Amino acid sequence: MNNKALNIVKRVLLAIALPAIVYLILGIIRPDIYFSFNTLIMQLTQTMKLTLVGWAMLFGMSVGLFDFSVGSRIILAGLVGIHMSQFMGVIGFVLGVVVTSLILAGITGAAFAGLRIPSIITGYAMLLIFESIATIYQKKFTVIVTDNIAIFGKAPGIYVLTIVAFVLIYVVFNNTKFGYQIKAIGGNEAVARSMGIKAVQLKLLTYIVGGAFLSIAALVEVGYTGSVTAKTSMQSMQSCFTPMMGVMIGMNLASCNPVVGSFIGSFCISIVGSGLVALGIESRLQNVVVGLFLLVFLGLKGNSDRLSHLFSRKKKEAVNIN
Amino acid sequence: MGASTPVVEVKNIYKSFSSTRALQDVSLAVYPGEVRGLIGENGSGKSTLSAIISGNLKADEGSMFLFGEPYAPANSFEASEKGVSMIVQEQGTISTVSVAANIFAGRESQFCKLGILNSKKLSAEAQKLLDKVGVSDIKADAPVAGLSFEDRKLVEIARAFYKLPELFIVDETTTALPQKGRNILYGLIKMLKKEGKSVLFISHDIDELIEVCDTVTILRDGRFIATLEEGEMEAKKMKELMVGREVADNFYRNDSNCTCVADKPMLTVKDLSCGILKDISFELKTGEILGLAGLSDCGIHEVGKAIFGLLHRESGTVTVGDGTQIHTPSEAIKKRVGFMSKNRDTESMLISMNIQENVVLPSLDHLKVAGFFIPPKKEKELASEWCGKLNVKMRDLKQSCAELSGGNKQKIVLAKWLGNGSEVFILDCPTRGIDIGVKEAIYRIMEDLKSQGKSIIMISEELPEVIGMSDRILVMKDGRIVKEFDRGPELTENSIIQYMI
Repeated sequence: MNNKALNIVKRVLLAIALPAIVYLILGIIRPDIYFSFNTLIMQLTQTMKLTLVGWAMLFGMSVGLFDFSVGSRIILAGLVGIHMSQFMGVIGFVLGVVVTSLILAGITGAAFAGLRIPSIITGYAMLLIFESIATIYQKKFTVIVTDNIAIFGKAPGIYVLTIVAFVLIYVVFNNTKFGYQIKAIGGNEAVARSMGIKAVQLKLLTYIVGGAFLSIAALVEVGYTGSVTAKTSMQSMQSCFTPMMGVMIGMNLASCNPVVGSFIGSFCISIVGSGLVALGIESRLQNVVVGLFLLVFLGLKGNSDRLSHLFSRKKKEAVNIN
Repeated sequence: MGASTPVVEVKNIYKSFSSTRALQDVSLAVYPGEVRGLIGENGSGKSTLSAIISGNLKADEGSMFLFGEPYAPANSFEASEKGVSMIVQEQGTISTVSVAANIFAGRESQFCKLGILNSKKLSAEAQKLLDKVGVSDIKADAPVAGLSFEDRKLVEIARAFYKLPELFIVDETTTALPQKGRNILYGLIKMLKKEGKSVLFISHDIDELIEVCDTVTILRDGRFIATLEEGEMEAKKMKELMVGREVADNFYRNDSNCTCVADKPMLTVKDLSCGILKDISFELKTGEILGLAGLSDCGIHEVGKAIFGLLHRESGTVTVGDGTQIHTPSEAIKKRVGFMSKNRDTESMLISMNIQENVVLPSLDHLKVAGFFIPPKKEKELASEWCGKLNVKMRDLKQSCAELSGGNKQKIVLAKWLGNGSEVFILDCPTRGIDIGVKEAIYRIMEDLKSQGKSIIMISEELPEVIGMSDRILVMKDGRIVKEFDRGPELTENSIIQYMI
């Protein structure tokens, strides 16, 4: 095997090491649950749902934008989509979700770019607005979910959508000018500007492109759950935290691309979460464990140099003693 | 010197970054009252060694001693508390807080009573220190963000002198300072020497090293090569020990007359006013190297930024050869104008990205297939071609730029604009902080570009290189062009200096 092939094998092994270790540990604790095909399929489905939202957030997070309005946008786009499906069937559902998602993303992006306020504040404000609109919308229109839209949340629909989304986001992130410029802005905005990159326009575009991917996530979410309920008091915000954690893990997995990394990160979060359910741990404590998992992973990653230095020193000391 | 206990002694130091061996078995001792020079090519390990001594990095192997006692600082603050302070080439201040807060960063508790910070006392102490160091014109209450790069360096120096350091490490800082700042630094070094303190002085300027240092240690490829005592410090010998081969005495252009096409301007700047700049007008001819000379704060650096569209212009126009006016960096790049900033790491290069990504970034439009897709093969070919032509020392194209030496970083910035097919190059201090080997390579690239009919604006504070490389020199003072010189054998530094000051 030549060096290049060896490097690829090494990177693949490193990339799958984290979920494999987590899976193995949980499998040893509960072999009856974890070492079964059905559980794996269930966790993969859960992972896809998380990853699709995570991918939609990846563009923004790569340029330092944190948008907490994502959950409220899924709900509102889902409501409009379901409403339209009553008149135009599946096509109406898809159109309603995609167009609404793009419009909401455009409005959020325009608010950020136009008012030049931090993305977190813009996200909070838009979340409050979108949650209220969704509540009014649900009251005003009778929104009934039809069976035919479930194809987006079940196999093979969810797999097809995830694969299509993966190919699209991989190409956009790695093989387009937009993807390159995102990495440049994330690396150093001042330098990126000096290379002719229009930072504000690019950030606005990350909202819109992210919105397009979010529409795929909304199709899957509504199809999977078979219902959409408007939320208030910032409850919709919770739905963006778990995917965000997956992306954070993905962006910190040195051995692989953030797009693939986000999937791996989401898979880890998913198996940890479902493992806790299987172990009968109370839902509030589950968040504590998932949070701790993220801290441990990022802590290990951030201190990898110190740890390798420590291990190499211990190894040398052991050799000297022998 | 050798009889007393060394202030700092490092023994058999090894340090690697991934597969790159930065230091191999390096030993060194600096004695009280000694000003020790440290010289070597980019990537020779000077900065790594100084970072280890100052607590910014940890050695993989080896030991260090401070006045004979084991010394292993956990970080730069601990090193500073023990008497080892360092100032570096790149920016080392916090821009979001005041000068005073920067000077006493980490030592605020001495100005606190019951948890309340006495900011008045903090500012007063900081001002005292600034006055003592000789930079009274910098006000302690001023926000650092409003200071020039040079003044920020002086703030760093003041911070290092809060407690007179036992060992003061100067890592290529003089290239970031104007003459006034350099004089302040030289004065402080003399004062330290008189007080029996030591200095480790890193610079690429051999004449400066001979002038300032008592002894000089030479590193090459991470290894100790030699230490020269005062009588042995001779420029040619030092260069040869650094490079490991014989080097030419003069590496500038050999021709002594202007050789460019006069009637075909590549760039026209007309009545440009912007901040300090007032009514700047000139034409850049085809195949011309136009030198911009002047003191650091006279506006020469702003000219480059303003032409490229990085500064907001109050008035005036910048027009390229085909008559199109440029206002923004994206317009400039489209019209094949490239800009290399003086502050490489913070303004010219994406340190967190790899070599390939940096090189291809301005060329993405040329690489696109079907209007959007950038084939990885084409990216690799472009980056590989230019890194090969410029002989960049690297592991592979995916190596992070943060791991490269200063000279190689500079080559990557050049590769970026060469790969983009730029016709006009604005090079602000193109040889700042790089060794003579890379310097020579950059001068040859500039000559090559000139021979291809490309034009260069070379902004530099180093008069020998401006004289040695330019077809024409514009001298600036207080934001205005005050004199123009043509290339010629009679042109000397003195004739230019009288218009600069």
